[in-house]
Amino acid sequence: MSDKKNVSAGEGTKKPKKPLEIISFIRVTAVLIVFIGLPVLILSNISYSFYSPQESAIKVAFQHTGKRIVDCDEKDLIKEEGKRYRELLKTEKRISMNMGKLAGCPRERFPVVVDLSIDGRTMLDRAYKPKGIKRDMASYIYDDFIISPGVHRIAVAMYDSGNKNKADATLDETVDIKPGDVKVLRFDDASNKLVVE
Amino acid sequence: MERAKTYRKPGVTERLWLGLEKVLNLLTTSAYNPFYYLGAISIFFLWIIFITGIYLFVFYSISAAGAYNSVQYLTVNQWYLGGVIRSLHRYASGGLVIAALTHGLRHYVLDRYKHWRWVSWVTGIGMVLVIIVGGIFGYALVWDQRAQFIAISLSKMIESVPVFGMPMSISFARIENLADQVFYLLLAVHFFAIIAVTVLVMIHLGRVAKSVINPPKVMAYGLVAVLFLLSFLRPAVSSGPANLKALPQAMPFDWLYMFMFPLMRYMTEHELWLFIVALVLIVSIIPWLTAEKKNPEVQVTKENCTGCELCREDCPYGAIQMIKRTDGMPYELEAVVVNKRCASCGICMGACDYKALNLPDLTEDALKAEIERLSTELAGAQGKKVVVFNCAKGAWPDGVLEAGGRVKGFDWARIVTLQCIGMLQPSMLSIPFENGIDGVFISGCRMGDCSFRSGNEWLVGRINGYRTPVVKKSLDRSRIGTAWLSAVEKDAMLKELGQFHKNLK
Repeated sequence: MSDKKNVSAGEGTKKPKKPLEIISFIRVTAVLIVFIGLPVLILSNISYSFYSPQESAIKVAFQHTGKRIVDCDEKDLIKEEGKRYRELLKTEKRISMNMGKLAGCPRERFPVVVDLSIDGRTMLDRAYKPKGIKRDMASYIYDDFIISPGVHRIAVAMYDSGNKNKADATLDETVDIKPGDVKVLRFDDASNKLVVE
Repeated sequence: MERAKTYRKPGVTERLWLGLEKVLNLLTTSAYNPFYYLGAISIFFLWIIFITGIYLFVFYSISAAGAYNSVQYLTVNQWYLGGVIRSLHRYASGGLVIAALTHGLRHYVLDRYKHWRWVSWVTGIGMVLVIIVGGIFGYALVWDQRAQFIAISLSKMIESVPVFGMPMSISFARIENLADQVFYLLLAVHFFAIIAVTVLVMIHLGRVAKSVINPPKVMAYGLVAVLFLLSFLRPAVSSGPANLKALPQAMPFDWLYMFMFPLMRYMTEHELWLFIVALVLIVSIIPWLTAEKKNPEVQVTKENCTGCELCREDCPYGAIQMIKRTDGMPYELEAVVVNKRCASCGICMGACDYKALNLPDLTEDALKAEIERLSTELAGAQGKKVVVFNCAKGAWPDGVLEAGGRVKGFDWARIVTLQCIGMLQPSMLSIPFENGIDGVFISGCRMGDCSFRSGNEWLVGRINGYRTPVVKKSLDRSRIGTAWLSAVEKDAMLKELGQFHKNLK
């Protein structure tokens, strides 16, 4: 059946308004349940687990500031330049600060390198670059690994001074990881040590 | 005069889709067929999300320590109000994805996404993306185990793009690292999604002159009823509180929003980004990949244009603009066509009383000549005779074009096929009667589903006298029959035509 059949003459000059029809409401609601309600109900409540219950994880997560590539003390330079400025001010009328001298003090830092091995197997050997346009800010270290639960030997070495021959911090620890556990390996600034927690 | 113009018949997928809608029309009638209102339903869901979201926000604690408990308070202690509102918020979000995706799929299947419709297509894809991102961030705000999983997965995805600075994953590695600011950020993105969707909706509808942004009242009540039903049947609840010392285990998962995260089990973050970007790009350029030659746009005969604005008023895509008269004629305005917006539907021809608008491949004169020819041809026949005006997008019998308007078994009828039934100019309806024809039968798209949005509706208005230009009052309306049917309902169309013929006095 089509929507309308014959067109009646003289239906007035305004579009007729339809009253709220209860039968139509029931029918429309039934259709909406099938086409919207059910898919939404089913698709938004399916149980899912990304991780298996027999998995655990180790996360390497911390921020750390590498040492400066050039050992240039900006504070000393500023102090020195300030002193020179004040001295000259006593004798000269027109003087200026030597900003070029300050700008010549490079601020770039070494990347932080983290070596991680679990049960003797290398899992991570990565250099994390310092942030900032001038590479003068902290490095943000994040990586995670899914491992099987149980006792594992974790060995970590961290290098922040550009010398890969001598680690700036190390950790060698045996940890017992329960199923589903997440262990976080981080550098503790207070104790200046790598820790697993 | 034989017409050279041909029209495309629907393909298999299109017929299947229309077949489904035909079944639904039996239940709901086309006035309330939800498939005809998917865009309006999506906007209705957006309203519900917005209003319920305000309430949830009032009670939400924007902090790592308080987020979970504040949501739990609403869900458990205030289950009769806050809990229901949370469920409405959740299920309206799910409904939004379903309605929006079905809306897009329907336009694709019914071939309504190319040429002048590309802006709506592309912004529609943008909207779906924003909705999904907004929804994901909304789930993270709950700060349960599901949120923990989302936060960690999302962080990995975000920080795999080198332009982002500090890795967010560090924040979600230890509870001590998790600052309240992270929750402000999550909330900001969640809010921003609503703003972005609003802007995109405005662009989406920018090229649609008479957009339908509200579902019929019956349907609106139906939608609210469904949402309440779901909310009471299965209230939205949180999983266990986030515990950063443990991997999140089995959780209720919303596949409508979180479908991409399980892929991270099989792909790296970069591969997943590549997959998403490629998918979005391919879907976005489909209108150009599948485009065939567009029909020539309507042309204005300026010397006939009186600047009456009826064409601008009727054009469903805002393709006609009125500008200040440029030719010294004693009228204030003249019509100009914006070609890139023109759908070549001819609805403006139907609105023009002065032959000022013509489709190059089917002018008003040619169309009137054809009506005249078929009417004259039929006039000599025995019995009652009917001229049929048929929309090429609606139901029409096979082979009618090749047979010059004749249909086997219907010797008393001649069929004139139009690009859109809205191009039927009122004076055209008089021609058959002036040539001794007993009745005129009009067959167009289903009401609410005109392929060019409003053609059938405008024509009904013209016949019934509430939309100018009106069909002259002296025409006997009992001799004008109509059938509003989709392209898969040709048998029903012929049946109704036969019935009309039989009932003619």
